[in-house]
Amino acid sequence: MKKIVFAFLAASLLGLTVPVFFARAANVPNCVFDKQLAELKATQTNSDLGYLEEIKAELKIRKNILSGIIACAEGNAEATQANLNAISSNDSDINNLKGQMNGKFEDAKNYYETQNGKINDLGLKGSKDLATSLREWILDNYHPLTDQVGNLTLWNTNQDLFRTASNRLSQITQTIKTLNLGDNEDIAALYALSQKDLANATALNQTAKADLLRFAPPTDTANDIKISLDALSQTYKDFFDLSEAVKKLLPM
Amino acid sequence: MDLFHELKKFKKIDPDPAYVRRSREMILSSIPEDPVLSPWRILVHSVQFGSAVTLAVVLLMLVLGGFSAWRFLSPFKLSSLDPASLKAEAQAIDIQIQLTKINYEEAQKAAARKAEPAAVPAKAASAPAASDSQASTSQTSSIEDVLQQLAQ
Repeated sequence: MKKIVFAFLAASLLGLTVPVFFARAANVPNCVFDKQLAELKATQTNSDLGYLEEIKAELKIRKNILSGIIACAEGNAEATQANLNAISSNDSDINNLKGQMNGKFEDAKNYYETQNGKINDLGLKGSKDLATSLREWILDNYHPLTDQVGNLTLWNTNQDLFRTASNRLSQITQTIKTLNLGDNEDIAALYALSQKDLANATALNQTAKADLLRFAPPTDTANDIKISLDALSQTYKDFFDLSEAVKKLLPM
Repeated sequence: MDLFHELKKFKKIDPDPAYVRRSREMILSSIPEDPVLSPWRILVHSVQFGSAVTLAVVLLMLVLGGFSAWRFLSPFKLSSLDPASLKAEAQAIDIQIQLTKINYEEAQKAAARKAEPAAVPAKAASAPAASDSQASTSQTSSIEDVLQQLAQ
């Protein structure tokens, strides 16, 4: 029964977290610009066009691509913001963080709208400059934000796992007391190790939370989340060892 | 007194007719009557029979199916150290670790993209007549890659 519950939980986790990773919709049909880029290249190499005609045609294509990119970026921002708002937590720190992130998404959408308003008046050089500044802004501001949403989604989901492990240790404690297993040296040592490893995992989990709250670089936060999960995984190895030791003492 | 004479008199003793009649009625009234097959009685009998058959079948299935009460009464099963439950919980952690790795790699790619110039997809640059369907199935550029090309 628990297997089914955890399979369901795992499937739910996948369903909740995976969309965040694919929110950068590089392959979403309306975010494909290969055809327009090919047209741009063809225009630039078309010797039949006069200089002015070529400039006009190129500028038109460039503006179309820029408008399409901004629409695509706004769509991505909406989708990722929806993923952010789907995160459910009773932790006031996390809810405050969600509020801050929502503000950043609103800033992003405003930025895109402002840039979109500039497109009509652009010349050829202006369109190139806008492309450069837009790219830098996305890399500097938007990608870190989406990665932070991904990290927050993962961290929030992990809290169920940490609670489950904590409950498990409480139950084990009760079992050891009830069956007077603490007198056995092996079991006592493994039990102490389980307690120590769970405390370590919990502390690392809090470090990852601190990363999120201070908007640390997303790679650092992701790394700390992974380290906390590795420590939690080690705790379960201890539980398995404890289970084996108890099995030897109480043959079933 | 002639004892034999007195004993012979007993032959002539008859019970009181009223007592005989009352006793006969009492005896006859204590004999159970034949049961009447009412619908209610038939229903009760059917339920009793059906329950007995069902219980017998269930017991037979449990025995043939390898049911063992010990499995459920085992203290190990009741304890918090059941390996199957531990395994399920550990697997949920492993899944999260894999997802975290994916997120970490995505963040790394985004950071690396800033430092490296975008690669221009060959197909996009050399296929001016590409159709919509071809474009949607070909290797596509990310927004940043397209912006990089527009900046040139």
